[in-house]
Amino acid sequence: MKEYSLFGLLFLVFTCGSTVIIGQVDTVISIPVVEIQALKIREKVIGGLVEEWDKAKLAQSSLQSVTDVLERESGLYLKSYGLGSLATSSVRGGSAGHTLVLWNGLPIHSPMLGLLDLSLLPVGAIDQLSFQRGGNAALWGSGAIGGLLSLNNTANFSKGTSIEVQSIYGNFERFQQDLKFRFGNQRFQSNTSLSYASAENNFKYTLAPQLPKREQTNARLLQHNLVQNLYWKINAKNALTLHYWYQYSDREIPPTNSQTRSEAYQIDGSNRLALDWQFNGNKTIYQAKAAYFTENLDFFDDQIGLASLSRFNSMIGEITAQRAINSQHTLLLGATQTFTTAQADGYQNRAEESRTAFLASLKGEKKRWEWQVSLRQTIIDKLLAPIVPTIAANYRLLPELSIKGKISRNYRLPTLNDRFWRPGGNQLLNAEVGWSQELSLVATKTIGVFELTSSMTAFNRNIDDWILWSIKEGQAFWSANNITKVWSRGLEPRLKLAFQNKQLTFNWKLGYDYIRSTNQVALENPRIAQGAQLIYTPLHQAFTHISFRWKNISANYHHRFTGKTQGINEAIEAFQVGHGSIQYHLSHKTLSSKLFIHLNNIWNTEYFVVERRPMPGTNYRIGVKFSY
Amino acid sequence: MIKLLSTLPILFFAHVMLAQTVIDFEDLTVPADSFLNGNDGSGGLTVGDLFLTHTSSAFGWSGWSISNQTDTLTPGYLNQYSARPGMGASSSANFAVSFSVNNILQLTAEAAGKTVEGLYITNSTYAYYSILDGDTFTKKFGGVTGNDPDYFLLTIKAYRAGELSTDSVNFYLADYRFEDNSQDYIIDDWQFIDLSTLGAVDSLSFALSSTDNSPMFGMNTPAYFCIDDVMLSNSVTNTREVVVAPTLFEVYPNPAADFLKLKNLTTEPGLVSLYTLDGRSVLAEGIQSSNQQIDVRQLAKGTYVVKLETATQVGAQLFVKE
Repeated sequence: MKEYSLFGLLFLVFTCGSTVIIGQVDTVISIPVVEIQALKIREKVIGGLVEEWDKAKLAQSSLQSVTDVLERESGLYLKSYGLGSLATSSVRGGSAGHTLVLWNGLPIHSPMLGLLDLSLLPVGAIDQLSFQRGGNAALWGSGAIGGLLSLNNTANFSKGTSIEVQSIYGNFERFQQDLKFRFGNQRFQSNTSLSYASAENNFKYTLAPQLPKREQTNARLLQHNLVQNLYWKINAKNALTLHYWYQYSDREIPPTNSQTRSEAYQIDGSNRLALDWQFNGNKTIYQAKAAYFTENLDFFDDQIGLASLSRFNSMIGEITAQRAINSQHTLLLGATQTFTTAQADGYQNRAEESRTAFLASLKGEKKRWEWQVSLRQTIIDKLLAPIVPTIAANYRLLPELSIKGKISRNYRLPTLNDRFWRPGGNQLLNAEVGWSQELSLVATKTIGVFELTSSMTAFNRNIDDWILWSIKEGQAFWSANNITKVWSRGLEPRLKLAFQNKQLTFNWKLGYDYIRSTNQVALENPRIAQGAQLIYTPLHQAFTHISFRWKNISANYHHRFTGKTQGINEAIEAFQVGHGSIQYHLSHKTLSSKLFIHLNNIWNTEYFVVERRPMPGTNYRIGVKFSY
Repeated sequence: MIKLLSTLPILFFAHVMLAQTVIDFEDLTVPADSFLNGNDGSGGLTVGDLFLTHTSSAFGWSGWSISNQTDTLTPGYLNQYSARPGMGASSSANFAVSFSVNNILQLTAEAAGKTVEGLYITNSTYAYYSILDGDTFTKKFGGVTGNDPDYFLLTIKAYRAGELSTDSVNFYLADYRFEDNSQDYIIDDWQFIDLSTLGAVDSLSFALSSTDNSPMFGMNTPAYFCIDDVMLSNSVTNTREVVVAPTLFEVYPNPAADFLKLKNLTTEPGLVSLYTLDGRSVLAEGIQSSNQQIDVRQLAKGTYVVKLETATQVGAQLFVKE
């Protein structure tokens, strides 16, 4: 009865838009304890493909950065400004702000910039990673236009204590130290993760064939991370989880290859705290989240006397309820309230923004069909954002062949900088909004010990009111404007071969992306022709990833081709880069160890991802990890 | 605010015409280590017979500002009001800073429709270091090899009756086009530009161009330069050909105490005049022959302007009375 009351209340909240009130729920102390789970209607992807890495899979390649995992094992195009420097993504021809990054289900991008520096995400801070291409705004909100990246912390409810210690040393005076500590039982778990990394990143690169190599300067990096997760299965129905993530990064900004020197540096600091309560009823799962995020991004350039400080605080409250209507239908209702304050030198006053969002999603399945209809309405500072629906379906044509499709409307709300920066901020901006369609054909065939999976995805997306900083006709200065439209379309074939027997595990992945993302409105300032491919959006890219494990040895090889792209000033030539790694595993009773070596850019390719920002040649990292 | 013929211009560029005024911006009261502009909504500053346009808002500024900032070392846009020489022309305090890819200098009152004899120009500290070292958004001139034939060019044209002239005066604020890279240069002192060849003007147009351009955002090189000592003509536009003075006449000895000898290098008779630096005429006499001796014994010690006018040519030089 209580369940119905709360569910009904939530339904009322959704339909009437009134204030969310969390009702009190009876608790029963009993064993077995509750199963902590994500709300599957929101997590399980219908209508598209998702790639997932669990803790074991993340450990398999010993990669330390989330960007490395995504770039090497998923073929994600990363716009990297150099070793240890800013990295953003362009997924399906979207902008950096069109990939939404979630941490335990909550968005962690900067509301000021509308994006997250992906280079700041260490693998050691998370337990599970998933990446989904395509629009997901109805389920996850603003920014989920091109892709959705989910970073999650999960618990292993086993009794006892475990410790992991890892040390890594590499070229360019890279040093990294990680410590993980876990203790608990079947009802309570504490996971602590500490990491320290430093590097000089003083690699040498070629200026011109006839000139001596130049050593990169002002590229020092220092990063700290502290993650504390507490999981408490209170009783048969209730569970409480606390996630805390402290990050500190002090990075020097190196000069471009056509700049004599740089004295710029940037300090990023963040504290993220999230509390997650889950109540599992007989038919309904309620989940309530409360989070407080605070971040500062301080940029200094001693050479020009610049100190640019910025800071934001976000408070997020979210309540969702997932109810099994019958054996075939599940309904999800949710409401989210976000209140953000931000300060920057460019804001005249403290910027404030309130976002209220209501979400509904209905999922059904029948015989060969799985389908889902979702809807989100956001209110931003008392103004209605575009309502964004999604309809998605999976259909199993044959036992080994399925078709997945999705039609969705997606949006990205203007960033605080777009709205409040002086000069040029524009509080009258509309959200970027548009429709996406995608269709995937997935075939899986098992032949003996071999499993072959192939897929072909085609997508099409139109985004109107695309925000650019521009000089509009009649204006004299740069300002944020809903000035253009972007049409993105493409093909994403994938092939995966897996082999496994008692001694040997082999996986081979091959992927190619053809992505045409064009500006549909001729612009003067910035000068962009109608039909021009967006900058830093390769038309062609391909990757392959081979991994195997034989007895105590495992190895990986990643190879990537990135087609020619256009930068702000000049074209960036196509390049191919290969990376390899070998791990040697040893176990003795409860102690296990791993020795690994990574050889990055094996073929010593001289390349740029961002113009004038050279990437390092061949370099190694060697590490050792002990687990007890 | 306005004075007749400052000393240095004459010393270095003796071809300038007389009956001129020099706008040197010195009578403007600029707070110490600061700048002035027309951000009071007037659209600019009137300085003598010049109007320096200025557009300013919450979005930023463009046009002209009058500055006395002297930081010659700090790169970057926060030092956008300093001239690279660290002073105005003739070691003065004030100078004008232009910030625009295309800027206008309007002539008003007596100067309108007449010849601008010339002006002094130099790089801003911001543009200078951006060209020398590059920055986040701009390339170091010469590129990674030092061999890129880069340049930062100022093109000056005249507006007459609303029409922009086709003839122009080009001035390279930086020029890296030389085969021998050691000859590459960035202007770091005040240089005089002769604009008399543009003839009568209502306004001067200043257009900056560079080899460091983005297809999307246009010129990357900071669109700044500085000017000082704008020499205006006070008389009706002279239709006579202006000839560089050394080819027109010679004066010796210089300095002179008693008699100044003038050698007329033209074949024409003319009028010799002497002026004080504040524009006061102290002597005038005709010259017929190729050589003439001028009695200067009555003149007070100091610097004077010697002007020779013939039917077709005009020239001037300085001489010092001991």
